[in-house]
Amino acid sequence: MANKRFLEYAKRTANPEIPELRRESVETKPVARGRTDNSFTSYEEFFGKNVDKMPELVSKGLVSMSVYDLLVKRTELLTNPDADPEELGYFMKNYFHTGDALIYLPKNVGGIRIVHDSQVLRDMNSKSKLVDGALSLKGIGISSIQGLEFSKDDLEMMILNKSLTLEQVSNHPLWKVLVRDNNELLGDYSEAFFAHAKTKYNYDTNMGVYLGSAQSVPIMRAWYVCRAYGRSDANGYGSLGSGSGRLLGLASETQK
Amino acid sequence: MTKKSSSLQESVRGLYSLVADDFYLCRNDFEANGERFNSALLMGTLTELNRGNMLLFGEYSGGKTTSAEYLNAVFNGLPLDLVKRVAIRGNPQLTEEKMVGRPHYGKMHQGQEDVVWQHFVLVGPKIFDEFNRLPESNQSVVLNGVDRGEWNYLNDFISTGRQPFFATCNYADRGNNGLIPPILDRFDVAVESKFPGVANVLHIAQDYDNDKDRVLENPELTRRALTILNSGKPYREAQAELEKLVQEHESSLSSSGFPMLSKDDKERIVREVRAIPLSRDAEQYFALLVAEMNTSEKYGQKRSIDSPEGDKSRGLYLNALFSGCGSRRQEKSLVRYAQSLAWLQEHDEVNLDHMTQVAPYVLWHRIKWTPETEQAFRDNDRVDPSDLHITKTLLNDGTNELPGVKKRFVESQANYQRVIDLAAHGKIKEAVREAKEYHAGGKGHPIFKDAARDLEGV
Repeated sequence: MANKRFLEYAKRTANPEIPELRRESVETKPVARGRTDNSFTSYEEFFGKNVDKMPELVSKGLVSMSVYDLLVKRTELLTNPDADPEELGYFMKNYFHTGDALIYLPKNVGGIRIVHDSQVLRDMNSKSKLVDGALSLKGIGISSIQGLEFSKDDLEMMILNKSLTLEQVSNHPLWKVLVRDNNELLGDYSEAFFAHAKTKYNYDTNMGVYLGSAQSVPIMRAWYVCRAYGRSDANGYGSLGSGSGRLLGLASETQK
Repeated sequence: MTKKSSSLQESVRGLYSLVADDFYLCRNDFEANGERFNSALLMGTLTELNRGNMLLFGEYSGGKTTSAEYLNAVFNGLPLDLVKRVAIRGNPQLTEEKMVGRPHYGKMHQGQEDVVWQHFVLVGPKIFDEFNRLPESNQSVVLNGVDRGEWNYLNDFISTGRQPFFATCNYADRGNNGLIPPILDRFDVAVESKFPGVANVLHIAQDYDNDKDRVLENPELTRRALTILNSGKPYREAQAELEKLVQEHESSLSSSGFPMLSKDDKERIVREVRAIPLSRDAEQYFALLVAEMNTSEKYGQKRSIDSPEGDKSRGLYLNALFSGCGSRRQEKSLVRYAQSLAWLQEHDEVNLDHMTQVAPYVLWHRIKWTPETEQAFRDNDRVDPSDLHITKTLLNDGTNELPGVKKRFVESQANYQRVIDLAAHGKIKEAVREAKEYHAGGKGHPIFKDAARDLEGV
C-alpha cells in the first residue's frame, strides 16, 4: 500500500491535469546469466556533429549513453535468443559516441584522464572551441575534473591501437575503467561479442583501445565504440565536430 | 509573487539596518530575490525571529561576539551591558556548575538540595563566546539546553523554551577543540563574521571607547536585573520581573529611534513565519536535497559508518561526496530559516531562491566533505571558508565535473512532477513504472527510488 504521506504530498502539489501516459517501454526480456543490471529500454538517436546534437539531447531532458550502458545493452541483445532482430541489428551495425570523456593532458605532461558521464561534454554546443576536433580545456581548471588518470608511463605499459585477444580485453586497464570496474559485464560482453564476431566476420581479435594525440593544451574527446564490423573497438580520437557523430539519448534520469 | 503589507517586517528591517549601519559595520555577501544582506547579520536576525541556534566562525576580534551582542540587545530589549554580563566565555575549565547551575551551598550545609541557576540559563537570549574552547566532553553538557531550551541540574529543571542562542568559535588553533557532530547538528545555521572592509575598519578603529554603545547600555537597569537574577526567586517570578525591566529599556530605546518589537509582536512573527508554505519549486528542491543527503544506492540509506566511496560509481550525487548523513534537525532548520527569510522579504511562500540561498548556511558546518571533494575545490578562488564555498557550489549549479543539486533539480523536476501527477491522479502503477525508469537502475536521481518505494509501500 502506498505511503499516505506521499499521496497527500502528491495531491497537494500535482497539476490538475492527468499527464499524458507514455507508451509502454519495450518489455524487458529476462536477463541472461542472472545479471542484475537491466539495459535501457527507450532511446533516441542524435546523428550529426556531437557539438550540435548534444544541446538537443540535453534540451529533451535526456542523458547521453555511456560505454557502460552500451555494453549492457549489447550484451543483453547478444545473449538473448529472443532478442528483437531489428534492435540487435541496430546496435551491432552502428557505432556510438558516448557521454564518457577522455582528457588528453598537454603534450609536455602526457597521459590521459577518463571521465564518466562528463558534464563538460554535456555542456558543449556549436560555439564550443574545438582544437583538432576536441574540446579545448584551456582556461578550465582541469584539476577540478574528476576522473581516473593514467600517466604516460602507465600508457606505455598497455596494449594500445591494435585488436586484442579475449584475455587481453579482460585484463585491459582502460576497458576496466570504461565498464566502471564491472568485470562481470566486461567478461559477459567480450565473450558474447567475440563469439558473434567470429561467426559473423571470422574475427579472432577485437575490442582494441585506440587513442589519439595530445595537443599543447589539454583537450577532451568523447569515447566512441565501433560497430561489430569495426570489432567493437573503443576509440578515443573521434572528432566532436564530425558530421557523422551518433549520440544516443536515454529516456532515463541523468546519470551524473 | 504578491506581498503582504505589514509593519512588523519594517520594524525588523529597521533594527537590521540600525545594527548594520551604526554598530556591526559589515559588507553585504548574501543575496536572495535580488536583495542583498550581510550573511552574519541576516542569519542572526532570522535566528532572533525564529529563536534558533547560530554558530559564528571567524578570526580573533572579527566581530563574532559583537554582532551577537547587538542582535540580542536590540531584538530583545536587553541592555547591552546585561547581555555581555550573562554571556559565557568558553575555557577548558568550564564545568556544568559554571555554565548551568550549582548547588545552593548554604542550603546544602543544612542538608537541603536546591539549585542556583546561572545567569546564562535564566536570561532567555544566550551567547556562548569561544564555544570551541570548551573540551569536547563538556560540550555535551549544553546539548539539551541548546536544542530544546531545557536545562537540568541535580533534580531540578528549567524550561526556557526556544530562545535565540549564539555561539562563537575561532578557527582552529592550539587553544580550542573540535565541535562534536551532535552539537554541530544542533546549530541551525553557521556563518562567518567577515572582514568588513578598510573604510569600516577606519571607522571602527577610531571609535575610541565604543562610544556608540552608550545608547544600548543601561548600567542601572543591568544592576537591577542582576539583583533579580541573584534573588533566588522562582524562575517564572524572576522572568516576570525581568520583563518589566525589558519594557522600561525598550521604551528608552524607542525614544532613541529603535523600532522595538514587543513580546506580542515576536509571538505574532513566529506564528506568521510558521504559516508560510513552501512553493512547489522550493519543496521539490528540498525533496531532492533530502534524498541526496540521506539515501545510498549501495547501502540502502546513508550512514556515518559507511564509506561514501561506495556510491561513487552510481553517479556524483551529494551522497558520494561527504561522510555522514542528513538529519531531521537540519531539515527542520532549513525549512524554518527559509520561511523566516520569506517572511522578512514579505513573500506569501518560500520560493526556490529562499531555499537555495539559505541551505548552504544550514549545512556547511554539519557536512564533512570527503578529501577527494575538498581536493577538487582546493585551488578555487573563493570568498568564503572552504567548507562553505564547497557547500554553496554543490547545492547550487556545481562545477563542470561535480554538478550541483540545483542543476539536477532543473534537470529532474519535470520527471519528478510526472511521477507526482500520476500518483495524485491514481495512476499508481504508472507512477511506479516511470519512477523506476527515471531511477535507471541506480544511475538516476535517488528521489525516484525513494518515490517508487513510497508508492509501492516498501
